[in-house]
Amino acid sequence: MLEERLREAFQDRVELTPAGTNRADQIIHRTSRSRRWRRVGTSLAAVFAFTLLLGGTLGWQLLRSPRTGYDSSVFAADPTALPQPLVTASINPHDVASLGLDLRIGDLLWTTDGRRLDLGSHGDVEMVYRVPAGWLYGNASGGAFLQPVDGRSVEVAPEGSRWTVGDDGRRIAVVADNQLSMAALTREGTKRLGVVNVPADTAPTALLGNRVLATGTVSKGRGYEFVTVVDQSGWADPAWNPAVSGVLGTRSDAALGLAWTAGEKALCLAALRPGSPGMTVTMTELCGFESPGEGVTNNLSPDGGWLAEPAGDQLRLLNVDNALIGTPTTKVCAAAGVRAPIWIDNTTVVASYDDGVVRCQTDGTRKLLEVPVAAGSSWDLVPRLGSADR
Amino acid sequence: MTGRQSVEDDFREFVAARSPALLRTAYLLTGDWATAEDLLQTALTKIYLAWRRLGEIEAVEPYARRVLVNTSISWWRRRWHGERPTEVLPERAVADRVDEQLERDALWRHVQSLPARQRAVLVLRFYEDLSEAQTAAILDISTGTVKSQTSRALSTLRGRLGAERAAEQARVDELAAAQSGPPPIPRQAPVPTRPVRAPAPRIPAPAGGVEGR
Repeated sequence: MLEERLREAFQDRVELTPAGTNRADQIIHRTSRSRRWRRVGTSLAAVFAFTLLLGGTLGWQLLRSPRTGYDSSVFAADPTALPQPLVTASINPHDVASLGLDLRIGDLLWTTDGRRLDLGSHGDVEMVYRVPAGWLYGNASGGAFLQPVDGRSVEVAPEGSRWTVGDDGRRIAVVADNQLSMAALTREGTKRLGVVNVPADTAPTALLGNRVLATGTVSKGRGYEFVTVVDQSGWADPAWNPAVSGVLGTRSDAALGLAWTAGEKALCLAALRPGSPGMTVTMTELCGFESPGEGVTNNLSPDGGWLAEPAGDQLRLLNVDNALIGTPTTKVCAAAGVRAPIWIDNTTVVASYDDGVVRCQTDGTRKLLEVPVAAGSSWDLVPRLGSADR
Repeated sequence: MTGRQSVEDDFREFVAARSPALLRTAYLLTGDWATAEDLLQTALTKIYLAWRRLGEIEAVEPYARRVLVNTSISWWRRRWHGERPTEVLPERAVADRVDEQLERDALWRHVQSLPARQRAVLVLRFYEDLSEAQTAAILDISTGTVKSQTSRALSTLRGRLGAERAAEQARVDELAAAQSGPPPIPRQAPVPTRPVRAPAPRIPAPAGGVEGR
């Protein structure tokens, strides 16, 4: 019986255990040293968290009291979140909390509604998204979890899986055990919408309607294709398109990605649409992108109208609408070492830079926001996908 | 004796008594002794940090096992687990049990290729001899998940061992046929089990044409 053979195999493997070392003393010595440092770090983090909370509260109170020059839309905003910043008003410019985005340091999350969440119970947190149902976060083992606005976190993608969340934050696509599934994210967890079998090494990259834009292995690298998942079952056999080299996000009718021109001379922005038998790729004249490899650093605005691209000491804002009709235009927002852009709305993007946070508008307005020194450099703003559930 | 000194002494005692057993479990979870040593060190550090909270020594053992297993699972993706040199097998005193040894080696090889959580379930169930409920408690999953993970892991192992045996048998048959029979007839390519799709479609290319990479 296999179980018996397993027992024997395990016993067999550990028959010869290497001699031990004096681990206890090493651990005691090392731990007492790191405890001292941790105490210092905890004090700094507490000061920082207090500053953020205070700043957030002050910013909220400032915005709630009507003043000349403030846009009235601020007061009609989602009551569960801080209002979004305005172009014209200088609202608490030194307060990052006024951006309306949650802040993450390691596994801890400081939310805009004043909560502190520890997401570390399933391993080290690698990325977090604010979605309508709560917070979607992934760990280093490939697992993903949903921390609902109220209640306990639930697993939405098993360890070892590959997953992606829709740009509206309401659905997730997961590949696990060679099965591609799509599910709705609700406050109770996930509700499966469909599942299909896919070839090995398939990974989801974006969600468009009932389809998942997935990537798979071709002879000389990777290719991309749309796979219909909702209300589906059985096998999918995608004809991976190797001309596509990366996916940036979705618009209402298409996904946007990077595709090679003839002879792989240049990588250009392209609209990717489902077609039969394979996807259609509409190239734009916006070219010269770096091959994204595994990490795409560009970020598409919620409506897919603009693309934010960190480029050295500036954040380039590329007008996608214009690019698709053949007249590409670009705005530039200067900030040293700018990285990880996050769109707050269709016209405002924020990004970390060497001295804090820069906020850029698609009309060319720029504002630099300072971050409290105590925050150090190990913090991240949490992207917000879709509007919050009321 | 101060409280701190007492904690340190208790911890030393625990490490001395339980390290070898925990190291063996760590080895089965990770697949090599060096990584197992690292894993054990990390787990013991977490245990030491939580020692005051654990209170009574009786609570430490299950906690230690939980920390060890969960740390190994969360390590799995972060660390490089590519090709490793094969360990030197211990010399066997009895020469007439080579087949059994080879089979156990093959089984161990396939266990190593299982997903981390499935392997952890097998180690806890069939090495530590824990019940499904105890395994579920350690991994913080339901008993049903333990059952399904165990069943899936065993089924994977059966499949892989079966495939290996079939391939071995085919090689033996081929060799025998080559040595004794007439010249071999070229074999037909196997029929694909799934439909083969046409090559990638051509892409409309307003900007001068696109070719597949």
